[in-house]
Amino acid sequence: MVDKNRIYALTTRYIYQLSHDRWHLADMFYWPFFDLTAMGYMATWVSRDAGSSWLSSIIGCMVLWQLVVQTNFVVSKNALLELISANVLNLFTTPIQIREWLTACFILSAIAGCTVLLFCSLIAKALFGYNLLSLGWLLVPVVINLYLSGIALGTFVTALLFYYGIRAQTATYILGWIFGLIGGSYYPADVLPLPFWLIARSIPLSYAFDVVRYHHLGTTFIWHNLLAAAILNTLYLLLATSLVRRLFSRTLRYGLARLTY
Amino acid sequence: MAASYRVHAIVKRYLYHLTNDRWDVAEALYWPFLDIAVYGYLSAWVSRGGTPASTPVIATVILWQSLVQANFAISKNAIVELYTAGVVPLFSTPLTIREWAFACMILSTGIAFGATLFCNTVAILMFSYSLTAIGWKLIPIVLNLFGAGMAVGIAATSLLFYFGHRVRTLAYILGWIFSLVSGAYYPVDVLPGWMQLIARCLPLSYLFEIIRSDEISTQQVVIKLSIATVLTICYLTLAIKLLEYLFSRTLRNGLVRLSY
Repeated sequence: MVDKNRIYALTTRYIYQLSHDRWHLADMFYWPFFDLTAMGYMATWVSRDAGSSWLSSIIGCMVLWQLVVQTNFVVSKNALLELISANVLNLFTTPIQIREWLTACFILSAIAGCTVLLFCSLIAKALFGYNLLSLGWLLVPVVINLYLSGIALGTFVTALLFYYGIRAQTATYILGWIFGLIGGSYYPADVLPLPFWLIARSIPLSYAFDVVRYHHLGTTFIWHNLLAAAILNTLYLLLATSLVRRLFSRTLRYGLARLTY
Repeated sequence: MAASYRVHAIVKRYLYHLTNDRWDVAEALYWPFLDIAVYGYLSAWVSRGGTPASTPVIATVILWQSLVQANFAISKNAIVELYTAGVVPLFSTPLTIREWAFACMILSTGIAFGATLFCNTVAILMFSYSLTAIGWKLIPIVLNLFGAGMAVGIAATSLLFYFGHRVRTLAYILGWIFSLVSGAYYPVDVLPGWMQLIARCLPLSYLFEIIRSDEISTQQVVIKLSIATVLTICYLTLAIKLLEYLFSRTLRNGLVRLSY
């Protein structure tokens, strides 16, 4: 049974940690700002001939991609911080269960994700005159889908971290960006070579970003994109959570101390 | 006076460190690959809308990576020393900061050269584009970019050796700040006026302009290269002076303050 007091305590713990680490906060806002500015100006340049709808579709996807990056990173970064500070043992010798820990991370990543999304949409409006609200009601299902993709990815990385320990720390930083390449966030999946395209079509991100792109480029809106993204997200999130529970129970069997340096 | 054997020893030390850390090597290859792939596919997609921009974008992104690697190869060594509390043991030997910086610059040239080759191979395989299409201009451009990357790396290192761990994030972000105003990803004329002014004070904007301009006379190329070279030498000299100054202050205050 999940205890909401413990979830609240964990969420508060990570909020304190996040808000007291100036450099972590700088990371949280600097990279999205950098990414959005670099990509935005480039999009401004390359879409001079192509038209403003291309610019909107690139910037819209870029703003929303930051939500995926942030939600993924918040979940996996918490696991990494526990490993680095050799705190996993202390944490899980209390009655805290892995599902409570995950729920707390999901709540935190929703808060951090929304904050970064708001920050990026303000940057997009100030620098490029792009309004994220121009997506209308579509924004709601797209944001929910991207949030689910982000936490599914973060949970998967956490499973690796809680099984392989600190050795897998690079996965925290690099795994999410692989999906930037094949997830259709920067460009539609159909510009990719066939093997990458096949992978892209099996992940929910490409469908969610296609919805944004279709909206801005005025292409026919396809309902099944949203449906496919929702189904795939549910599937991957279930898989990731069951993987983290399975690998964590194995780690418990072998002894949590193996995760310490 | 710099002793060549001490420089040689430092180069070897970091080479061992680099080659024995598989994740370090993987990361050094992964991010450039990702950058080229993302910007390459993006420009390939946008060119469907009528903008034939993909070739200069891939070229400038590859060359930007050479600068990033040259920068990071230097500041990463400073971070390694700070993390392993190696600053005190290292500089209580006769090794001078100038020798250390010189060794890092040699290493940085090697790493940046390797990264440029790797990026070029990726571009050939993925987008059938090779940097050699730039012609003779490639050599002075690459050398200037290596120099600019080293200047950024040395400036970041001087801050690391003065403020310690607290500013480690700077080592990662300092170089990237310049990418916004360098013209690496887009021409500087899409930027607001005040950012264009900053861009004009950096050697990078002149170098990337050469690559991006289709019709540019040899005379203009020589002028832009000369300005870039002068600026690169100025910034590199300033960065070395800053490192020497801040490190001497750290020595005066005690190297131990850099340890945790």
